[in-house]
Amino acid sequence: MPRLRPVAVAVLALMGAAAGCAPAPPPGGLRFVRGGVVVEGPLQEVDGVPLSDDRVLVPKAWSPGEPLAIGGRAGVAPRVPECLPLASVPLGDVSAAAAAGAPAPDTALAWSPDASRLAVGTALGEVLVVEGHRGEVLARRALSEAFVKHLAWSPDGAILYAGEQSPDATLWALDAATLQPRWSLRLADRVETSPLPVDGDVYGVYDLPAVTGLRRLPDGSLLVVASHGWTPRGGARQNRAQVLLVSAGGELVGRWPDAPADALFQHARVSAGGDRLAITVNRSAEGPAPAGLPVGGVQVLRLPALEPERALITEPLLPHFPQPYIWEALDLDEDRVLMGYGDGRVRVVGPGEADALWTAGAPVMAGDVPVHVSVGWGLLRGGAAIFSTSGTLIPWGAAAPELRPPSAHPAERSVTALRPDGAVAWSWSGGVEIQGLSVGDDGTTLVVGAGARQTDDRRDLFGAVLLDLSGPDRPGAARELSRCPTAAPAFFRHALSADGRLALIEHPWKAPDGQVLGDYRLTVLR
Amino acid sequence: MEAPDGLDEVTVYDPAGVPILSRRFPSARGASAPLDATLALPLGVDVGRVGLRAGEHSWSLPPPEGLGDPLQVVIGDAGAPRLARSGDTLTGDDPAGMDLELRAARAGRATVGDAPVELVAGERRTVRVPIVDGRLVLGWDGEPVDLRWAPASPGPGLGALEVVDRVFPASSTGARKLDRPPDRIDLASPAGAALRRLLFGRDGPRDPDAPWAHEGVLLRNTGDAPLDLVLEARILGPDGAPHPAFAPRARGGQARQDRVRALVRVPAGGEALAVLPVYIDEAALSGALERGPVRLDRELRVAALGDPRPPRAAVAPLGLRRSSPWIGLGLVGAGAAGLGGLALLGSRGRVWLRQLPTSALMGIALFSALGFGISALGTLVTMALAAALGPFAFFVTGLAEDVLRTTLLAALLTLLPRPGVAGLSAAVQWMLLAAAHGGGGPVELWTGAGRIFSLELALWVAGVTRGGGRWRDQGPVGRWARLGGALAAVGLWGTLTGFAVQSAVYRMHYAGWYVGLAALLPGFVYPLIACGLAVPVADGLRRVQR
Repeated sequence: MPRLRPVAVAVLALMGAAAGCAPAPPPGGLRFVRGGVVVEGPLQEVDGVPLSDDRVLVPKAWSPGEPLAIGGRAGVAPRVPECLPLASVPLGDVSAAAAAGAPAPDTALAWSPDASRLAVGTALGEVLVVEGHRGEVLARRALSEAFVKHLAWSPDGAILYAGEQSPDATLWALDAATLQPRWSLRLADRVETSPLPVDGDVYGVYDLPAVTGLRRLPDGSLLVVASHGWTPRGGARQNRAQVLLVSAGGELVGRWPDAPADALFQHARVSAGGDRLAITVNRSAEGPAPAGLPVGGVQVLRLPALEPERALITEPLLPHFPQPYIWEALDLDEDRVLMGYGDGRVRVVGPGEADALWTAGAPVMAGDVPVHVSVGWGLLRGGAAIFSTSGTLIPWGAAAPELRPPSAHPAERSVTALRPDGAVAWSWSGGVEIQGLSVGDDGTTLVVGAGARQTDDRRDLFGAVLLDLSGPDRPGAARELSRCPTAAPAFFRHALSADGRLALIEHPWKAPDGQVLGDYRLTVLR
Repeated sequence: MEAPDGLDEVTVYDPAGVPILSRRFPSARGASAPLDATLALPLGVDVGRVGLRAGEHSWSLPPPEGLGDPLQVVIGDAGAPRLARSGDTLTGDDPAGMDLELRAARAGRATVGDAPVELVAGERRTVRVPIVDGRLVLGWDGEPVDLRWAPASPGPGLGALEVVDRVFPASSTGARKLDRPPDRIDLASPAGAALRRLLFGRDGPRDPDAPWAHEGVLLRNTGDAPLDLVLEARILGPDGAPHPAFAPRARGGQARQDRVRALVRVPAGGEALAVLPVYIDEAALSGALERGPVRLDRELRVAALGDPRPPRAAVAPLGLRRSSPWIGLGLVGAGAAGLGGLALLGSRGRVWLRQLPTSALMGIALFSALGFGISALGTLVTMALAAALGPFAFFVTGLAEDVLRTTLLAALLTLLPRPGVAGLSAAVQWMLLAAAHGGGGPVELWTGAGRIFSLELALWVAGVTRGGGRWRDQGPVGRWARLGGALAAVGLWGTLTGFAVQSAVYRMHYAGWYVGLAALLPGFVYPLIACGLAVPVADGLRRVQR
């Protein structure tokens, strides 16, 4: 092949020939991160934010190639900013569950309104409030018998709201300084309860009632989604779900439907203006589905009245997918709804114009075997519909779903942005196993989580990739801002503060030889 | 270069020595830092060298080959890609073409076969590249890309595999279950199902998440390399689609699966047994059997693990039907008799013990103990004979055992023709058998009480235990008819309800002719023969009594 210029991705290995070998340079120096420089100690006096391990973060704009000297340390700014861990907080031991094949531990994250503190809700039922730069634990409280599923802060940062997945499915309002309860609301009274699973049942916790959505509305009230799917001993599978509006004082001020629905409301999104809500409607209960609910689709409600606005259902993608299924790929802005499906399609429904439908992730034949990708996460930002795809899969209903996909699906492991007309604006792929999309509080930085590997045991691709959503049309590869490596796979919920601190949850994973590696911890990077 | 603890840091520099990017790699608990580093370089930069740091040492490397190519061809597993280099030979299954991922460092035109493909900078696209004369027809900006093709060898395939036998129903070890009909599923009759729901709730006494049975698949590998196989089984309905009632109940029924799977390795030149569970949601099948038995298919697909070639499929029939309604009726009858027996013992047992003289009670105990001895001996002999005769052993031993026990009972009734004598004798024998054989469970208590009730009822109806024993003054034929009629009726009832209880409670399966033969011979004919022998014996004992 002709050799011209370097390209986007390089895979290095230590098997290459060395051009030179020398003792490593002494540790310490300047590390150039997004919008700042980390000065590594021991230090002279430096004006900045103190970090752990004798480091200081100096907020500073720098240019590639610019020589800098701070606090007696010197360095040349690189073309691409580095992403360094600022703090790390252990969250407990979940290695036994990882060894038993449990999914990644469900963990909630929320920056306080001033981004000085970070709230963490763990899969071990704890709530922590940690200092946002050094990771000092300011308050810690065991709250739930199972998961703390969602967190939200009051506008003044004085109250932290926490929603559980537990036999009680309690919604808590906690004093953010002490984590003492101010009030609580037991949602199992509405969607019924289930006992804790027996030891060894790693999926049983998902049969507990849960707060599957929690959002503070502009008027200070809380939008809460409660959902519960369970199988009573010796009985048929049951579902209950309800959307609730709770005042800041903990009083129930609205609900939809009037009685809990025989369905599951698994994920909820509220529009930026707080005037509309979209929830995914699924169902696992036996018997006929209740009339009037878009099972397999999305229900949009007007807020705060909780009045149904529209029900959105998409035809199944036969023959491989007898029913459409939406997981977390759901979002809505003022007039559009984004829906990403497990079968590899994305649909954006506007108020009047024709839907934008992206089908490039749907099954294609690779020899005799169909392969597809699933759309796991998606969001609407700045007029674009942005979503991520999984690795290559073989549909469950296909001839041989247990086989290894014979070739990669063209749309695998990518982040794609669609214009309003449905055309692809840009697409990015970095080889990572995508675990969640989130947008930073700056509104222009997209966080792409990088989780446990499905097809190999490489350990250099855990963490997150930051993409720049701003600016005119550019190829996806040109939007990559930085990569934030972590020691262990990242969970799919992450949070990026307005000043660029990224909170990631690392969790243990099982190596191909069965060994469980890594820790369950919070890592804050910049 | 040695870096046993992995890479700590990688820095890429441009030709002027200015860093392009730097990355540190933290190591996880229990693991070393990574040995590979995937770096995303900005578009359009030139790489001068790559700096590596691992522990106390650092290295400086030239940029990897292929890094400067404007068009990268990505090969290898989707999760661990590597770049093809000019002159590489790529392996694949299809000699006509390969699916390859193209990555463009800058905007340009690739040629795939005869078709131009415009790529923007940074774009990646998977295309099917045709193969002609062992070369991939691919170009970039008018120049051919030198890549060759060679056939992949995905493993030995299934040519050496034989499916020797499929056993259904089988135990969890794959052994054939002899107590159930082969290739057939018998569900409880509506009456039996209703009774079971009444007693045990919706799912009955069975764990609804446990397999109803298993299928054993014996596989033989005639090749000289071991075969790693994936077996997949599902039950197809009359319409050829997977029947939802047989979907495995994994994850509380949430998993959208209509099949079960097993992995098995078949050694070279050897055999291996794979065992696949079969789950049944009986409630979901009730509607399917409204118009009688249903023919289903057991589909088995066998594929070599990791081999993309189509699996081998085989279909075997599977019958589905309701069990006989007589089982439900028999169960209800046995239940009613058991309740009657318990009520009889509760209401009259103390009266019988109080009214019968001690000598009579001693006689009952003596005859019952003898009866127990005969039963115990008969059980041992039957077990020994069963080695040769199997389920027919008790037809042989029963002739002697039943004749002797019935003779003892008939003699006892001739000596003591009163209500409660037969019941107390049966109760004593039941207690002795329960103590000796450990058969004192609820089902045995139930059937034992049923025998007491049926004995007392039949003997009373036949006039043996009423009328002050005047029947003893009848002729031998008359006495034989009364005793034989009553005890044959009891034997017939006990045999039929016993089969019903065994079928319903223990899910045993019996052929109709076997049930009929057992009811006719040990149930009916043997008591008649026994009573024929007992009448003269009882005459002699009665003379001694006088």
